[in-house]
Amino acid sequence: MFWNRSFKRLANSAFQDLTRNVWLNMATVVIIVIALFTVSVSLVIDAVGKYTLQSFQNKIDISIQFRDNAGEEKILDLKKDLESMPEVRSVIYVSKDQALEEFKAAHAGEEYISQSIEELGENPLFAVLNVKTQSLDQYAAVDSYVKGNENYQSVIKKVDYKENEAVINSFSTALGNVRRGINALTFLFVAISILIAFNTIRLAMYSHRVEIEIMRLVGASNWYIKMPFIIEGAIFGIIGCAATLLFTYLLSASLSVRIEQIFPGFYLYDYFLGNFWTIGAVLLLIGVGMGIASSFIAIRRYLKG
Amino acid sequence: MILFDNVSKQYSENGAALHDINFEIREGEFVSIVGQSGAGKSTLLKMIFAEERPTAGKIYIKGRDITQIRDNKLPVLRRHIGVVFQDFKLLDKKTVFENVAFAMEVSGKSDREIEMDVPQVLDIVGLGEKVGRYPHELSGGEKQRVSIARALVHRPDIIVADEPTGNLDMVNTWDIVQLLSKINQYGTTVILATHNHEIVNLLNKRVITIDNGRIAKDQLDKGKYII
Repeated sequence: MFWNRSFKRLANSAFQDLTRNVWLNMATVVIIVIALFTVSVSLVIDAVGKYTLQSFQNKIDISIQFRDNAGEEKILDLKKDLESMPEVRSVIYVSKDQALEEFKAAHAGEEYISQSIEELGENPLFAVLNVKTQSLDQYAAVDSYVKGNENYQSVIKKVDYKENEAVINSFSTALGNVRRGINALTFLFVAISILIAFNTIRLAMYSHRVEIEIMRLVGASNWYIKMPFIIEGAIFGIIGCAATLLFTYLLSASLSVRIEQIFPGFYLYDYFLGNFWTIGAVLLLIGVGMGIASSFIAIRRYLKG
Repeated sequence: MILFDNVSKQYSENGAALHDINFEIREGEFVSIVGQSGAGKSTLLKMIFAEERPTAGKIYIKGRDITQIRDNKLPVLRRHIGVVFQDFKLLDKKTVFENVAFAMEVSGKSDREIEMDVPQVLDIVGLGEKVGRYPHELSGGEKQRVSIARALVHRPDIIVADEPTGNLDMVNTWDIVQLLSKINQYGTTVILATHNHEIVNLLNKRVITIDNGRIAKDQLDKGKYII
């Protein structure tokens, strides 16, 4: 009963105070919005990065070329072995004849190529298994398995992983660096925003110094003094989160087409709506955390002894 | 009730506010602490409600050593000690009623208790008709009465008044001092720090004189302002 009564009074005090120092309170909310917007940009960049990586990954595979003497049964055995590996996403078999048909179809308009093939008289292409893995860093495992398996050494002509490896590793490293860089920047932005929000809240608390002093002298506990400011900090966080979500929604709606032109297939607006609750939860947690942390740190200097 | 046992307060190597203070105040006494500005009166009073802690010595209130008191126990101590300041320390955006009720809210009293007690206390200090006024609508003497009402509302054992009449004219000064006397007659121990010799001489009560941080004189009865 005591705690209910006290909490009601403290919450009332917090809400009343929101209507005083309006401009100062708005400044605090703006700082929180800037920090949260940085977080939401970071989330979007992360999503775009993952999408780009996936698209890139879809285009990359390991091609295993087989000698002319390789029987189809052996090739299909290897296909089955590879499909049973957890790292492997898909294995597509292209026979010699199929390879030739695909080649002719791809170069249908080029007469000299068609003529060259006819003059050769035989199919110069090879049967191939095209292997895609779950992630970029798993190609090495597949490459090692194929090359280390004695059953198939006699029929494999070439595994072209090595040519792709450098590209795969470069892209993977670059993407990892970009994501780490974005995360570091976001962390820095949030830390700076906490400092600025803290200073803004401290300014507001300065206007309460007489009240805080009186509360201490008439026997208010430290928690009784802190709570209204902590509640206010949480309210700033909630308002900041709502404002950021609205701003991000409007921005995603207006920029979605442009973003899709740069990253084909990635629809920013759909991504935002599809992940609205997750993004909202993350922003709310960070926003309320920032508001409460800033208030908590700011009030401490007024609570000596 | 209050015992100062070899209490000293040193702010820096060369700056000692109080040296070897020893005195005892019995329950129900009215004591004036007098001295020139900077003598250490305010520091001594602040130690009673633990706003300052001594560098050496012990302070006992109702037999309890408050020099060792933990920070989270201070609020409980302060609810038994009413404090009145020269600058009133009222909240400008709260009414007379709300300023006094504030002191009860922080200790979790119910709205019903507040509705009952606050008007009674305001009647005692003579402000029963002004419950809805704001501090800027009151005279200096009335503001100090509100401050005294706030100090009284917890029914404290001790009232500490640090130069409560410093900003008041002679008429209001005497009204406040009479109010404090009346409170003392009801059994509350009153400690008044002042450099107003006329009040002290008229009160004819115990006077402790502080000079350069030391007790120069302790006149247990019918004391006079002597520096």
